[in-house]
Amino acid sequence: MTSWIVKAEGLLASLLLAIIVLLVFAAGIMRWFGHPLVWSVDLAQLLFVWVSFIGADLALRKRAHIGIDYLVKRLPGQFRAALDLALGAVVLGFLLTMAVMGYRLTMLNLERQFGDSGISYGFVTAAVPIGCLLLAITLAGQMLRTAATLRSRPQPVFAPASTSVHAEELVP
Amino acid sequence: MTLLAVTFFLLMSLGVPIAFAIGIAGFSFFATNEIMPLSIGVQQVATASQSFPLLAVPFFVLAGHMMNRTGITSRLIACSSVLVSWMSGGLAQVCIVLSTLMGGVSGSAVADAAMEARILGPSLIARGYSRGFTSATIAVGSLITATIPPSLGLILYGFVGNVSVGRLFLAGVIPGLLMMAGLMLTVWLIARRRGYRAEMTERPTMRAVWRAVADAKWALLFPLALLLAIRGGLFTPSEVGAFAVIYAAVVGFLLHKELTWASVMEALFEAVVDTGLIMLIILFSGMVGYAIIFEQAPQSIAEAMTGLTREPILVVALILIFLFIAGLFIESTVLVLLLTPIFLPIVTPLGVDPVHFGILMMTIVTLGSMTPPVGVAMYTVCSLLDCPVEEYVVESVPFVFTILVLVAILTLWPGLVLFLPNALM
Repeated sequence: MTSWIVKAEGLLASLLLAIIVLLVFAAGIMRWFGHPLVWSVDLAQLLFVWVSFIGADLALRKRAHIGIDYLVKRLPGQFRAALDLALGAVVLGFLLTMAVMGYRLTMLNLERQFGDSGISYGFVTAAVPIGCLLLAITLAGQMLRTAATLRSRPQPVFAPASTSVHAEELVP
Repeated sequence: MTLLAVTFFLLMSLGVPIAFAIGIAGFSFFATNEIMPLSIGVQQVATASQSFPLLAVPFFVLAGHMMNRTGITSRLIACSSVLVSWMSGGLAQVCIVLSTLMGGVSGSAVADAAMEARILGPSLIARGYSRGFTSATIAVGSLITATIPPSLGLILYGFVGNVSVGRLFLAGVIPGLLMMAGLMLTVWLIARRRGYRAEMTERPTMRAVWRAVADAKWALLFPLALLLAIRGGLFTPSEVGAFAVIYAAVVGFLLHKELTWASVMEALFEAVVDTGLIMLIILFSGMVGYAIIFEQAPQSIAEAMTGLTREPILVVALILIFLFIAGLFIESTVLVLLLTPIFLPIVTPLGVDPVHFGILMMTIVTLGSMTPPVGVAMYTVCSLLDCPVEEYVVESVPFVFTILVLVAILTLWPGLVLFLPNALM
């Protein structure tokens, strides 16, 4: 079930990224020929915020977001897992508040136009509540798994960046 | 502002992913401020994504992942090996030159360091180079990749500081090459003393060099095409980023014939995840950026600094020292996002060129990911090569020292940085 969602998310975001590349490439080429496409860059910007949030969610699923485990890796496993659960609850509260506030803002922004494209700015703003909600769901799932194994095999919620092979290609 | 800073450092030191730590810190400012409604904070997150130059980030990340699958990397390794493996410390020299050549197609130091640690690292250790020396050469050498255009760090700096990315790219060329020369000299001196031998006894023939260069021509031509496209003013850096992706596809499918649809999909997926990692930090830092401006932090810090000295070089030196120390503990993307809006308005009125300052700042800040206690490039290389961090720290001293000397030289002679952008743009 979850792997099916991951695949769908990955495919959707990959497709969006490919479209963004083609949109910006086309805009460059067309301007070169003297026929600028104004809407294509606007559309690319709009899709970009969605790619960013879906990508962030995929990264969270792989526990690839960089954190500093310099201090906490010295803690005993069970203590660290418990600490992570407490911190995770704070992050969860933050993400859910952002989702609610973002929803209200989107409703306010529906009228506002995005660039000259005639697309509602609400499509940009909507990425914030939906993105935060996706992140919250993923995080909640990871916290549940940690909580379930807290006594037998304590696992931190936020995996250390240094042991994750995926954490490497991220920083400029 | 105090609450914001305390929240950020507390959460970060407890191991919360940086993106969330920065988001909650910014959120705390809006939640406790009576004038600022919370919805402005949410709005800032959405607004942060609506910058055209920022689109260059996913493009160059994707181009990098695709280039790796087009056979460009293996050709560049062959090329660097022919060029420098006859020198003392031959294989280590290959690492440095490869970082430079990779710099022209990739914008990320950590990606380059990881690739070299996987592909070249084991053979260096097998030839008797110490683990620490190997790791330090690869990790600090990858700083060249981050300096030679395209560079993700410079794109971010240009985005936050509103500085021309084209000029920044051109400005990175000479410092990148000087870095290569400096690090090669360092490797040569250490290799001579320890007896790390050359790989080949004789210098390569012109024909061998020519054959290797011709084989890698599509990779070597790329940075030139990139600079030409931006310099001509016809295309913006973001559009050039999109071209880079198409270029990689053309080279991979048609010229090298090594790219497959499956590997394009892999590259897209990896690029999406990397983009998510970088962008979540950028999006959530939108709130903190707003708070910094609202609280007039740049003005108060500027007053404190200019109370000490008004000499531009000294102010820049003070900032660089501060950045070096901050870079030991804080990840480079975060430093660029948060400190550029504070420091750039301080140095610009003193007559420091934003492009010059950008190169200095990026070099010092990126060096932070090669130094302990917090350094992503360092941990990546050390964990891939199974090198104890203590050993790395000792062996990296001469390399870090070389970089610091180079930064001092670049600070004193802005012409080295500004010559190319002023002459060409």
